Amino acid sequence: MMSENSSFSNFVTLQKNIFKRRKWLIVLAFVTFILFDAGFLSLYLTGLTRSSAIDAAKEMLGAGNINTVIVLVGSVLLAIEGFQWLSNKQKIDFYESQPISRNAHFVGVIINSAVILVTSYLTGIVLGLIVAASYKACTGAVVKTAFTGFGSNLILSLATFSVSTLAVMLTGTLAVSVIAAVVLLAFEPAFDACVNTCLMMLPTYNGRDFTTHCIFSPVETFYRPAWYAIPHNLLCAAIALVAAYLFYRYRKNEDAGKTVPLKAVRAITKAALIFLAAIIAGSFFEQSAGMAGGIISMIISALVVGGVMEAIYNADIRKVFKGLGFTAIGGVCAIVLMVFCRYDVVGYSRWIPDKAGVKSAYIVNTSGNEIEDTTYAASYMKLTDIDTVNHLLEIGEETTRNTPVEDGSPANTCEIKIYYRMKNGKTMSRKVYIPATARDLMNKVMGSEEFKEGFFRLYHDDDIAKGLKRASASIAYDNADADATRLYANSTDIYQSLKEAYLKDLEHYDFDTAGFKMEIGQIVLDIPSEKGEEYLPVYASFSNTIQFLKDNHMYMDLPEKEVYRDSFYSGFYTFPKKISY
Amino acid sequence: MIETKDLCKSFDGAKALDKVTLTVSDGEITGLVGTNGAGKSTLLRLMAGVLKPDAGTITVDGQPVWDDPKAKSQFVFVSDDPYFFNNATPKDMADYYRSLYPAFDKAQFDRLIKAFDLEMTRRVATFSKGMKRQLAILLAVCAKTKYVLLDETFDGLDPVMRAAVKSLFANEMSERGLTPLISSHSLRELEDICDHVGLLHKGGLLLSEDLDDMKTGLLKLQCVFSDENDVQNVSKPLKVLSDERQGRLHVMTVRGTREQVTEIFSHIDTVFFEILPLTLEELFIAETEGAGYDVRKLIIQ
Repeated sequence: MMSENSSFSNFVTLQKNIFKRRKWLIVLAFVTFILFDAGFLSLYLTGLTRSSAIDAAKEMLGAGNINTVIVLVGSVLLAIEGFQWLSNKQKIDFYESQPISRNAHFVGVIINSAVILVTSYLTGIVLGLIVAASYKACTGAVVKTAFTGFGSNLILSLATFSVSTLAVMLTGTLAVSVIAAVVLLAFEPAFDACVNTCLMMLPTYNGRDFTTHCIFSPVETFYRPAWYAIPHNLLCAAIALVAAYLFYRYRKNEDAGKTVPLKAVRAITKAALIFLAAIIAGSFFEQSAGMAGGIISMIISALVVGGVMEAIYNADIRKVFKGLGFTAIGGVCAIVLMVFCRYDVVGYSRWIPDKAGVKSAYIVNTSGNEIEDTTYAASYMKLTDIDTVNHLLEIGEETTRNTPVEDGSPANTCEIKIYYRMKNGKTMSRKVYIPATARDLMNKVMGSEEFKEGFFRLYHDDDIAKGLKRASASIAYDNADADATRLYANSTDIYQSLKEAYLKDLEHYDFDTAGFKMEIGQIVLDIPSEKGEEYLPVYASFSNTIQFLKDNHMYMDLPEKEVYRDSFYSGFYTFPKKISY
Repeated sequence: MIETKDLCKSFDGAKALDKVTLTVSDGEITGLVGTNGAGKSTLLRLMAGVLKPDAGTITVDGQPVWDDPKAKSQFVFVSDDPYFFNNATPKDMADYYRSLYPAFDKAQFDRLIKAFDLEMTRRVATFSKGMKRQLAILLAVCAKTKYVLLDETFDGLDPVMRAAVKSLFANEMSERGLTPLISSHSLRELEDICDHVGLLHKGGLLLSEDLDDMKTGLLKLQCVFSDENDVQNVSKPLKVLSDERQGRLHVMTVRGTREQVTEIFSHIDTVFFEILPLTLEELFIAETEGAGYDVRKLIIQ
């Protein structure tokens, strides 16, 4: 061993040696973070007002922007450079014959990489805050945003580093390690997207049923909230790091220089990437050349990708026709999936649930903020008249099946998504076009209190009521005339009166209102920093609401000039699509 | 000592080593010889703990070597293509080795660098292949470990450097009991330095002998008989391993002691008789021909 002394002193010596051989990487890390967090920030803040400078500082120093990109790329680089000795016979002979345990070396590189990233990033943040302070833009909120972003980016980097380390352990050359890292990081979202592309061929697929909940991809968490992203990335890091360690122990040093030493990894990777490539090719060509053209393109892409991979695996262009078995597996799986979806072989768009197995249902429309609408409806809409909902689904599925997918929504229909909460705990859903002939059914559903409670947020409005108490909250009315100025109430204390009037008007709300009558305007509840804007459609029949608006000097008549417009709120509006008046 | 027992190693189904049992005794220079692909480098890398054996054991002073820092602290491995850090100088490499091997003798290293005409502050990347090998040897020797494992390190050194390194090893062996293990594909490279030599062929150890023992039992004779029939009088009491004739001149390799040979030839009428030293190559040929191997084919000239 390096010394007969404590293992701590050996650890310190190892770290010093690793730092010495990574000098260029350390310099690169510090220069990059300082350049962006301090240098570019300084340029960006020049000439801005204080409030703009504060927003700019938050944007530059927080998560989800350039720092995240640097951290991602840096993590991949640190992992691949840190373990690149495993890909080189000369270095293997050098390092593995030295009196350092393999575990110590593995852990040493990880800790060293963490120290480099944390110190360089922290230095950038601190210098950035100093720069912000020099522009009087370093507020408590900016500091909080910077360090919150620092924390979440570090967790993201831990996941990315771990996955990249796993990529190195599964491969034997530097170039292939980089490719493997990209594949591992991007594969699950790509797989998700490809499978959903196929599933979108099903007429009633709502685009949300299939998600892989990525294990190896921190990339998926970019657009997820912190409560999801942080535990997900920590789990991803743990799984990847354990797997990387196990492969590190299992791999043979004589595999240095082999592109992908393990046969099982070669086979699985090949089949998986061929599957993706075939789906992409098939989706693209099926639209213009029909299913036959799509299948031909899938076969060709499978052979090409399979050949390229074999050439890379064997470092020999002559081996392109090797391993046709796994080429076939990947290609056939893709073709089968595409055919199944295109022709709805399993009857996806004919499904009607057994009433006995359904707990309740909810419906959302597909305009507006669909994610928020779905979340709210999922929490509060509990339709129990399953016979009616099933009848609606049946009519909707028939209409949808008869509509080519590429044609989009047909005339005189509205597009809705019906969700069933099953007694077995699952949620099943379908996206359907509802024709005018289903008017009575829709009236029955939309006229019910169960529907209104889960559609209009006034029924569960603690967050709205609380938000409106903030100083910069507002209530306004908009008659959708682009040239008209929005009218604001004098204060938000009138919310309860508004709510009372509106709920009274909702007693007569149904599909006849939402589907056939254009709104005359909308009430806008502006709740800063959290909820954003909430909209309440106002119809000509909403006499109580109109009176409320008049009493508060907010009401505007419809414009006299001709205006062509779509319904700007209700996705249930159907007939006709545009009006003029 | 370094011991291997029934060592086996395969790469992608091809056997590189097949039940190799070898002992490297302390205080001796052991040579490993064989053609390309014989398994020399594989054996050395297994001994250095770089590769893990498929079967069998390797111990250094009784300690298994794989992933054992304590065992690895007993030796330095110099591969056939030694690695140096990018932009490193001999001084940087010495500092690194000193961190790994606490007994590293910096003063000796400084002296040897000068003696071998290398520059301490010049980037190793600018060195020639031979200079890099010299540097690797010096670093290994100055680490003051008990063993030094050298993979074809002598191959490619010029005769002057080779002599200098041999002298260095001799000094280190006498002063502190260094035990070098050197592999080569040329017997001639190892001839005047090794005490013990092993011959590897296709992953197997054909021969592992002390040179003194080999030399004691084998003699090379040149003679011209007055009466050609007297050849039988030699071949009866002595085992004649080879008898090359050029006209009436016999060049014979016989198994026996010098005293025995002298006694026998004292009763035979010869025109000319002389006992000659055997080269390592001739020793190996003599020893392995009997086993059915034509060592001339196995050893690169």
